[in-house]
Amino acid sequence: MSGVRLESLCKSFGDITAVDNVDLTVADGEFVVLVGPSGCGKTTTLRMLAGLEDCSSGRIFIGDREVTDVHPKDRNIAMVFQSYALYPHKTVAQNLGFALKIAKRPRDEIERRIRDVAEILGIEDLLDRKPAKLSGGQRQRVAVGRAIIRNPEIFLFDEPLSNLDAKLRTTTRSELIKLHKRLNATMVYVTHDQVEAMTMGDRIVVMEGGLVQQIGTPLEIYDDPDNRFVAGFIGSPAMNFFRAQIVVDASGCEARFADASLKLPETHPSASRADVVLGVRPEHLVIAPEFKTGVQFQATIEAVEHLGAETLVELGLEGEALTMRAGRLENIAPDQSVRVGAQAEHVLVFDAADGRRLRPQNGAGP
Amino acid sequence: MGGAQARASKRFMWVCMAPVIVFLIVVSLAPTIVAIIDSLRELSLTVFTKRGAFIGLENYRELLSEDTKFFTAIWKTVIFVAVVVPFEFVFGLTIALYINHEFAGRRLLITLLMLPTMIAPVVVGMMWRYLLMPSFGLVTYYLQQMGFLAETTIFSDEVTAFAALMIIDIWEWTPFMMLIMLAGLTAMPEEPIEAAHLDGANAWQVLWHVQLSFLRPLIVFAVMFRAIEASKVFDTIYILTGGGPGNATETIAVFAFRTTFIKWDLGYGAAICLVLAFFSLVVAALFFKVSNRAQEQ
Repeated sequence: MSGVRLESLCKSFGDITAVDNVDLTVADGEFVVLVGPSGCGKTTTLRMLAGLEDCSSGRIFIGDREVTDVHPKDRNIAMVFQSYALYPHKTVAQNLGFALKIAKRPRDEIERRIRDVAEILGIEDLLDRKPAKLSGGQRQRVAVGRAIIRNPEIFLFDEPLSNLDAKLRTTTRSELIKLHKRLNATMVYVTHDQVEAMTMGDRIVVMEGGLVQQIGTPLEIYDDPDNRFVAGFIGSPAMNFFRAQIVVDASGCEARFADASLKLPETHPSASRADVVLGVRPEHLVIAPEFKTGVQFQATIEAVEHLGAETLVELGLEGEALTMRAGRLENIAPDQSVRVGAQAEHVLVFDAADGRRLRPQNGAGP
Repeated sequence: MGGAQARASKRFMWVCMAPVIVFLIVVSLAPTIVAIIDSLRELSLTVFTKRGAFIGLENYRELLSEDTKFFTAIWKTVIFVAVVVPFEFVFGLTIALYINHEFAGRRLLITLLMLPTMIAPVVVGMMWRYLLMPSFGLVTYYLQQMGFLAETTIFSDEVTAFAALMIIDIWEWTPFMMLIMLAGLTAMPEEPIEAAHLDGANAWQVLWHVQLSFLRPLIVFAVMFRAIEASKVFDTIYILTGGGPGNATETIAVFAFRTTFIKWDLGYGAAICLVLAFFSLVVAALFFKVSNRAQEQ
């Protein structure tokens, strides 16, 4: 097994820059997830790593070996495709053993390894079937089996769960996590599903517009996003945003919106701006807050969704819709006017112009 | 109500099919019946004793047991098909593989490459006739200059005449193969090829293990179709050699034509055509069987 290093990786298609100066180091045995919306450059980055796309500039290392211009077949990489990319005319066993056959391994070794992999993935009964006779989940297993049978240095996954139904996606997700633990392999996984990213990755790389927006552990990304895009993309329901005016007077610096105001330290970088955007996660909003610090405002309940263990409340604030997530709430109904608040440490401040996170200089407060 | 509707629907179906049925009866069924009747008669326009007397299966007996020219023509046809079809397939596939990616002028190139197939076979024959003319044919001249051809002309030698006809057929029909293969390659998903590369396969292995397997149903279709078509080759041979020198380039279609419309032995000619039709049916049945199996795989 080896790690991966991408240095200043760029890819352009004509005038369009799909991947813009990506730097990323994946440690040996690490599970890194590239996540972002469609067209953010995550799949292109993965394909460049696989050697299926040429790089416009930059360098790729697998371990200490530079592979930027090395043919895919010589990179010792295995990839699971979104469409699974099974060979339709070959049986499951032939699909699994294809790479070993190409590598001219002895027949008995190929058969033994096919059996081993089939046992790991629970597909022993499918070995004589053609892919057309398999369900989506079974195909997915065969595709994973085809990857692991070779013991490659790196595993790449290109949205491998996106064609599965919700239930199968959840079980396969946990199976892949277990597989990673069992193989202790270096894995790079691409998805647009932030739940997959949060649950599977040792670290997450959030991408947008060909740029890496933030790299960190799932909780780092969730709790401490670098910009408004990351804050809004990671988390479901998404973070609530309020546009606020900055008022600096003798009493200090405040961010004001609706009837609410948020005290900010005088040294806070937002003091030099006219507008900022405040962000609060749905679970950090509370009705009838008892705390005095932070931010409070009057809002109208637009809709209530009882999910059993928890309740999602849609709030209206000056024409904007906010989402609140709380434990089970039974005594609320639409059209009620309620006092809503969030503690100061749960309010994130973003630059209104470029969406950059504005962090307090001493690390304290919002 | 339901019954009346069903009857009206059936009537409408027959009305729609009627023109096609009438057309098929006029151009296919009726001539076949006439041919079957003629093949059982001793009918010649040049031999006055053969005036149409019913002779049963005598024409078939003579054709299948005594006529060495018939078997020679069959053999020539088999050789012709066995040589031209593989070459057309390999060349067509090779060109398709080379142009199976986007580049400037691709469409124009495909159109130009398709020209030989789009030209009428008679025109192809005439064109090559001028190019291979003994006295001022351009190709003949250069072949003689380069020492590949002695003073003899291409069509005066049995081997060169037959080879020339094969080369012309390959030139004419390779684009057809190319187009079919290109359609298959274009429709082929990219991921299995990429997966094969990542599995360590080189270009040849990808071609052999992945692309050709994907193309198998199309290959079966194209090869069988061309084999049937090539076995009926007539126009270019008729224009260029007329089956000669002697009967060196007399394939089965030319043999049938010569018997029927040069010797005017209509009864015997009809028997030849029907035997040919029978073989074609056998090949067609085989084709469908192989094609279905390829589809299933």
